Amino acid sequence: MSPPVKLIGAFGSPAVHRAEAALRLKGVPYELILEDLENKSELLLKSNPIHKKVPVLLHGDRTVCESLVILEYIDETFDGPPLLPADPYDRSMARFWAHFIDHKCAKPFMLSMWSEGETQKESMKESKENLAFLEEQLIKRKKRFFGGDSIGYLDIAACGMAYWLGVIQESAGVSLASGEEFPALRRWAEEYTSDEAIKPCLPDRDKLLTHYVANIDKYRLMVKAPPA
Amino acid sequence: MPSSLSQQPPHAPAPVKLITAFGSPFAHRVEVALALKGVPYELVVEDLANKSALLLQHNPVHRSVPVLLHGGRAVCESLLIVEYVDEAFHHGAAAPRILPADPYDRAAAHFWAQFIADKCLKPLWLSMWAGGDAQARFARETKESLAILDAQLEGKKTRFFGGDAIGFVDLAACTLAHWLGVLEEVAGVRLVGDGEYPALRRWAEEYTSDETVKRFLPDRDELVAFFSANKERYTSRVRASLQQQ
Repeated sequence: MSPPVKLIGAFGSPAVHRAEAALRLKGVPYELILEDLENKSELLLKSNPIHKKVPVLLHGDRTVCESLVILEYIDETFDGPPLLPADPYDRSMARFWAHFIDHKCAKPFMLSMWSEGETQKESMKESKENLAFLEEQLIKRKKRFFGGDSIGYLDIAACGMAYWLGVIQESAGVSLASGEEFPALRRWAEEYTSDEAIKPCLPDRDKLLTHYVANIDKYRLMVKAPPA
Repeated sequence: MPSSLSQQPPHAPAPVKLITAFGSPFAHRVEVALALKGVPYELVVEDLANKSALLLQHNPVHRSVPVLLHGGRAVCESLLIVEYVDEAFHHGAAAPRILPADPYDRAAAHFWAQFIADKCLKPLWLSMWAGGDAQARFARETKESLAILDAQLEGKKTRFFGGDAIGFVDLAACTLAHWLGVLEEVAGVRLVGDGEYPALRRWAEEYTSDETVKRFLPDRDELVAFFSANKERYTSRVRASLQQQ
């Protein structure tokens, strides 16, 4: 009998969604502990002293931090449909594109949304180039999902694109792409967000939109300031 | 664990090529990994000021080294390549493991490798070339991270991050073992004071004395010359990227 699973999370976090999505796809019951990130709990600070971020997976007396690390841990520890492919090359590709999303896509996307002038223009161009790479990857696979016929590691890693991208663009009044562009990604986003296991752990869209609108000044300041 | 990891190797193993460039700690990681697994390979050395069609074709996203070509398929990003090598060339119980077998230990290894990449190496590089206030900020961040790593090692009391043998996290940290001093010298930025981070120093000594690792450590004087020759390029690029915010 596997020890209990708890997940420390926060409303609206795509990183937390990744962990929830993986647990649900594996059919692993878990307790969600919601944090107020402006007022972090003792539990969070003790469980993730280095980064002090969510998500944190607590599995019995084990602690796992960092969403992509959590994904692999969940995949390897629990029974259920595999999230990463079996073939080493396919695994390396899934990891490559997940890292691409986190390291190459995130910053230009944020700058596209919340900066201005030349910086914004350059960032939007870069963001579209990034989307084009991912569109190409999806088309290459000729399947419903990056993972094939069912949702896998890379689909989950790309959740931000499936759901958050649209909400954030709406909140900022900035549109990266027209309705005609990136048709494969649009179809994929629709498939991902309608999936029965995924839907319940997506944050409510109106609440998410309100959250992004309410915090927009903070984000605009954040992209101006040098890294802490 | 997926069953493919315990399969026998194919009867005619596909050739392995590694696209690399002089002085790259990232390429070093992969060379050590290939050597630890006993995988023969052909080295293709790039001039990064004049990138080849081969490199651009196989790494269109990042256009950087190293790139591993295995049977014509390309794997990019050094730590991903190391993991690929670990999984693709796992020839039964006798072969050394670069990542641990246990999922929780693997999670720890992934976590620390990511910490090293994001919280040590990235600010380290920036602290060398940024200048001004930014330099002090990045230096501070790097040192805080080095202190955390030092405490990790101190707590473990093993020769390497992975235990008694070199593993994934040691490869992730290789820059700290051999390149850090070179960078400090070339940039004229001293990050590590005398007596600081004793556990890290001990680890660096162990790492750079290892018989396998030694074969792939570029000559220190050549490294100094190489980084010196490129100093202006690094400086302007780093400062430009910081302006962009």
